[in-house]
Amino acid sequence: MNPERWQQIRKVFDAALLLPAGERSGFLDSACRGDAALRREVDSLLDSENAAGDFLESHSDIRPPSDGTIVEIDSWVGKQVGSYRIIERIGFGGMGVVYRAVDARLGREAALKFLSAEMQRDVRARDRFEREARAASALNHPNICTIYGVDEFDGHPYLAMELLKGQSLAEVIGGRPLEVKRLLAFAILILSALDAAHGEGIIHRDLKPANIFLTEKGQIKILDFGLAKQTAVMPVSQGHSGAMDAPGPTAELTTAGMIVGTVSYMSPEQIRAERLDARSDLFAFGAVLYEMATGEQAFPGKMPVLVLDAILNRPPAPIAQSNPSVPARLAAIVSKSLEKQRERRYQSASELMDDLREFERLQAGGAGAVFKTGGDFIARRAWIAMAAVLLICTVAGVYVWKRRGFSLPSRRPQVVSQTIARPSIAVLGFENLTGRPEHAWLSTAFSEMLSTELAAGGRLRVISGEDVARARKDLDIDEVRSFSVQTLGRLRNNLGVDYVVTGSYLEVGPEGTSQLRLDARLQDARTGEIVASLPETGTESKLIDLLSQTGADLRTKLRIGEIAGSEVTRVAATIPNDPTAARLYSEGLAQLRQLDPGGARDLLLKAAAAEPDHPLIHAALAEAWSQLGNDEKSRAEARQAASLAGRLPQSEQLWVEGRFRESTHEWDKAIDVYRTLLGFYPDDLEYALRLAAVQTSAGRGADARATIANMRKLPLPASADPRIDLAEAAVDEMSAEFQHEKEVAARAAQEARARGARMVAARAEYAQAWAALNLGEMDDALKYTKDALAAYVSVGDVNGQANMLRNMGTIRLMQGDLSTALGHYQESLKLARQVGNLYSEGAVTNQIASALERQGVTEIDPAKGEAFDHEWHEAMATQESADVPPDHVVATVQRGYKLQGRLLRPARVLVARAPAPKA
Amino acid sequence: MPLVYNELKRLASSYLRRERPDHTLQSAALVNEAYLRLVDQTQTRWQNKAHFYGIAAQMMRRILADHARGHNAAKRGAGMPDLELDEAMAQAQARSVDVLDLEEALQRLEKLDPQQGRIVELRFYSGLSIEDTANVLGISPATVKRDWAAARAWLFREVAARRPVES
Repeated sequence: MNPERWQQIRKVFDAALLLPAGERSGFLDSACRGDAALRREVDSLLDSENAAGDFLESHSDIRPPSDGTIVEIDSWVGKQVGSYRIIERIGFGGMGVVYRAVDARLGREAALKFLSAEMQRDVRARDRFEREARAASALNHPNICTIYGVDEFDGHPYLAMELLKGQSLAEVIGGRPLEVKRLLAFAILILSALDAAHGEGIIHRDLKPANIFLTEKGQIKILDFGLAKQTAVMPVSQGHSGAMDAPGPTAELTTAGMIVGTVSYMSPEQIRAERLDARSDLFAFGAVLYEMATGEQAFPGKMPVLVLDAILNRPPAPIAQSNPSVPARLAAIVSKSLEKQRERRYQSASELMDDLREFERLQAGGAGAVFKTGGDFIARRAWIAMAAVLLICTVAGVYVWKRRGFSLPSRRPQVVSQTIARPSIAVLGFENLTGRPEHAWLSTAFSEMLSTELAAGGRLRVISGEDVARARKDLDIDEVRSFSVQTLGRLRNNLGVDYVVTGSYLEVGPEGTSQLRLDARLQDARTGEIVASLPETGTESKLIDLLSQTGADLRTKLRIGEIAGSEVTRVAATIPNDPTAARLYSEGLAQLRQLDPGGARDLLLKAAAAEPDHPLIHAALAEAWSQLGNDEKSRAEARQAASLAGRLPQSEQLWVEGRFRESTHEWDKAIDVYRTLLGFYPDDLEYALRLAAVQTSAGRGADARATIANMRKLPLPASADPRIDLAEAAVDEMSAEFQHEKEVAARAAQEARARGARMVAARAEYAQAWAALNLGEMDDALKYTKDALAAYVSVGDVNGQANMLRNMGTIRLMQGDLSTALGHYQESLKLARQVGNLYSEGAVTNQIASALERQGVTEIDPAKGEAFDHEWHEAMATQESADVPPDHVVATVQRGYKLQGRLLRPARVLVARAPAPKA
Repeated sequence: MPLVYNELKRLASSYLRRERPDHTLQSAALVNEAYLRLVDQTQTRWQNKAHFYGIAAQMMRRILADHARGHNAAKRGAGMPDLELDEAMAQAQARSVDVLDLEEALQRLEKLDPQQGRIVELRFYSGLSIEDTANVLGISPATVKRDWAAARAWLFREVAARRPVES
C-alpha cells in the first residue's frame, strides 16, 4: 500500500463510518465500483473498527471534551431535524458543520448548515449567520444558491439550503487561465446574479472564487450572500495608555490587527472600513475576472499585510504579462473594474455586463456551447470529493490566514537573488562629545534611525542593533570613533560586515542657541579605509532632518540611490515623535542591550506613557518582559506592537508581526512571517535563524533542518556562523538526538570562542551540558554548565547565570549531593530575584521543592492537608493581588494540583517564599 | 541513563501498571508531573507544552518498545531484573496491546500517513484527549477524530492479524 492508496481507502472509510450500518453496503457498492480491492480494504477496516472496542483508548481522555456541544452536533447523523433527516456530514470548519439531509415531505435533498457551539456563543457570528439567512432568502435567482429556511434544532440555529454538487470556481480555475469563451459565460451569469441582488439592495460583500460554484449541470451559483465583514482591521484597544494595565481579555484580541476573512478580493473601501455599495462587489468581481483571465490572483501575497498594501496602493500586474492571449479590450474591462476609486469603476453590474456583451459580440461565437459540455470537466464522480467542495463553499472559514504549505501564485519580490549576498553594513554607534550625560541616548537613537534609513529599499543588509550590541559586548569594544584594522577584522568575522558607520556628536555655538553637530564616518571593514566623513549641523529641534541628511549622504556614497518617497515617512516612524518618548525609548533600548531588562522596562513604560501608540516601544517592552519571565505581559505588548506596526517599513512590520506570533506560540503563522521575510532577503542570517527556531518550536524538525542546510550555503562568513550549529543542536534536542546535539554544540562552542563571541559560546556550552545530562554523562554536564556560567558572568548576563546555577543544582541533585544542590539553588534564586525574573524564580522554587522531597521533607500529615490547601490559595491570592500574574510554573503546578489533589510540596515552598511586593 | 528517559520510564511503569486504579491520576497527569520536573532544564528550551507532550509521547513510545524488546530477550535467557515494568507489561498485554506489534504497525502507518502516526502517539502514549491532540497539532478536533478512527481501525487490524494464536 502507498500513501495515496491509503488516503483513498480512508476517505471512503470515513464516509462509510458516518452512515448507519444498514446503509453502508449500498454506499460502498457505488463508492467502490470497479475496484474490488478497495471494497475489501474498506470492509475489513470497518470490521476491525467494529471489533476494536476500546483498543488504545482505555486510558485516554482524562476529562470529557471541553465542549460537549461540538461533539453533539458532530454526531447527528441519522437524526430527524425538523422535516429533515440527516444523512451524513459533508463539511465542517471554523463556522460549523454542514450535513447532507433529506426533506421527507418534499423528497428533496438539502444542505443543513449548523453554527458550531463556539460560534453560537459569538454574538457577532450568530448575527452574521442570521443576516446571511435573511439576505439570501430574500433572493430568488437561478444563479444564487437557494435558502429553504432558517430554523433551530435543540437550541442550535441552522440554515437549510440547496444542496450543490460540483466545484467551486477556485477549483475550476486551479491556477490556470480559463478560455475566454468560458470566462465570458461565467462572468455574465455572475453579473446577472449580482445585478438582481443589487436591485434588491443586497450587497454580497465577500465575492470570491471560493464562493462561486459551478454545479455538475454547469450552472453558476453564488453562495454566502450577505456575509458581512466586520470592519476590515479589528482595532486593538488603544485606549489603555499605561502598559501596566492588566491585559484585557485575551481571547477577544487574538485577531488583533488581523483581518477577518479573505483579503484578496476586498475593495479598497472595505479595507478602510468605509461604507460599501454595489461598486464594492464589482471590484471583487473584477478580481475574480482577473483570476479567470490569468489563473493568478490580482493581488497576490502570502501575508495579509502585503495583500492589503497591494490592493490599496498598487495596480495589479498587467494581464498580458501572465496571459498574452487575453484580448486588450477584455484586459481594459478588468482594469476598469479594479480601479482603486469607486467613482472610476463601472457604476453598476448592468453597465459592466453591457461592456462584456459588446466584447463578446466582437469575439463572435456564443457562450452556450461551453455549458452544453460543462459537466464533463468534473470527472470525479465520487461523492466525497464533492462533499469536500461543499465544505469549502458553505463553511468558508472566517479565518483564512494561509496555512503552511498553501502556496499562492505569488510574484517573487525582485529584491535580491538567492545566491548573491548584498553588501552589509553596521551602524556601531556615536560618541557623545557634548559632555552632558543626558544626551547619551542620542547615540542609540541616531544608530537606530540611520540603520533604518540605510535598510530602506533593501539594497544593503543592515546588521540589527541587537546584533551590534552583542558583538560589541562579545568583543569588548568600547570605542566608537574609528577602528583599527585589527578591530575591524574581528568585527567583520563576528558580524559578517563589509562597512561600518561610526561617529560622534557635540554641541556647537553659544548656549541657548546651540546647534548639534553630527560627524558620521563610513569605514570599509576590509581595508580600514575611511570611505567618507560626513559632518552635518542642525538645531536640536530638528534632529530628524539632521539624520535624514546624513542618511541621504551615506546612501549617495554607497551608491544605493535615494529612499523612495513613500518610504520616507515610514523610516521616520521608527523613532517616536515625542522628544521625551524618543529619549526614554532610546535609553530603554540601550539598557535592554546591556542585559538589564528591569531597568529597560521602567524606562520603556515611561516612554509608552509619553507616546502610547508607537509600535517599537511596545516591541521593546515585549522583549523586556520576556527577559523578566513574564510571558503574559510580553504577549500583551507584542500584540499591541503588531497592531500598531502598519506605519513601519515593511520588513520591520513583518519582524514585529513575527515576534508577536512567537509570543503567542502561533508557530505556523510565525513560520509564514519569517519565510516571507527570508523570501525578500534570502541572505539575511537573522531571518533564517528565526525561521529555524520557530520551525523547531513547531516540531517541524525536517523543515528546520532544511532551513539550516540553506544557511550553510550562504556566502562566508555567514555560513560559518556558530549560531547555525546552535540551531541544529536545538533541532537535535527536539528530536531527542542527544549524541548529535552534543557534537554540534561542541562545534558551535569552539567556533564561537574562536570568534570571541562569548554570548553564543555560553549558549553553546549550555546546549552541550543539556545533551550530556540527557546522555547520563553527569560529570561532563557539570563541566559544560560551569563553562557556560563563566561565559555568562563575563558578559554580565544575570538571567543566564541564574539558569546555569539552577542547572548545576539539578545535576548535583541527580548525583545525590543534596546540600550542594540546595546551595546552587539558593544562589540561583537570589539572582532570579535580583533580575526580577518570575519564571526563573518559579522554576528554581519548584526545584527546591523536589530537592527537599528527596531529603525526606515530604510527608505531609493528611490531617493538615486542609491547612496547606488554605495556605496554597492564600499564596496564589497574594500573588494575584500583587499584580504578579501566575507564571508558567505556578500555573502548571496549580493545574497539576487540581488534577491530582496531591501536589502540596511546591505549595509549601511557595508559601515560604515571600511574594515580592511591587516596587 | 538519561534524565528525561529515566523520569519517563518511571512514569511508563506506573502508567502501564495503572497504579491506584481508583485514582483519577492518569497518563496526562503523569506527563504533567514530568513536565513540572523537567521545566527546570527547559526554560528556554521546551518551547511550550505541546512541544513537550510531543516529545514525551515519542519517548514513552521508545521506552515501551525498548523494554518490550529487552523483555523478550530476557525470556530467551538474558535475565532482566526490571520486575516493575515486566509486571506492567504483562498487564498491558492482558489489555490486548502487544507493544512490539503495535510499534511495528505504527511504523508502517507513519509511512502511509505521518499525521495519523502523530495522533496515535499523542492519544495513546501521552494520553491526550481529542481536543488536546488537536491543540498540539494545530488541526481541528474533527480532523483528529476522523484520523484517529481510521488509524485505530487500521492498527487493530494489523495487530490482530499478527497476533499468534498462543505463544
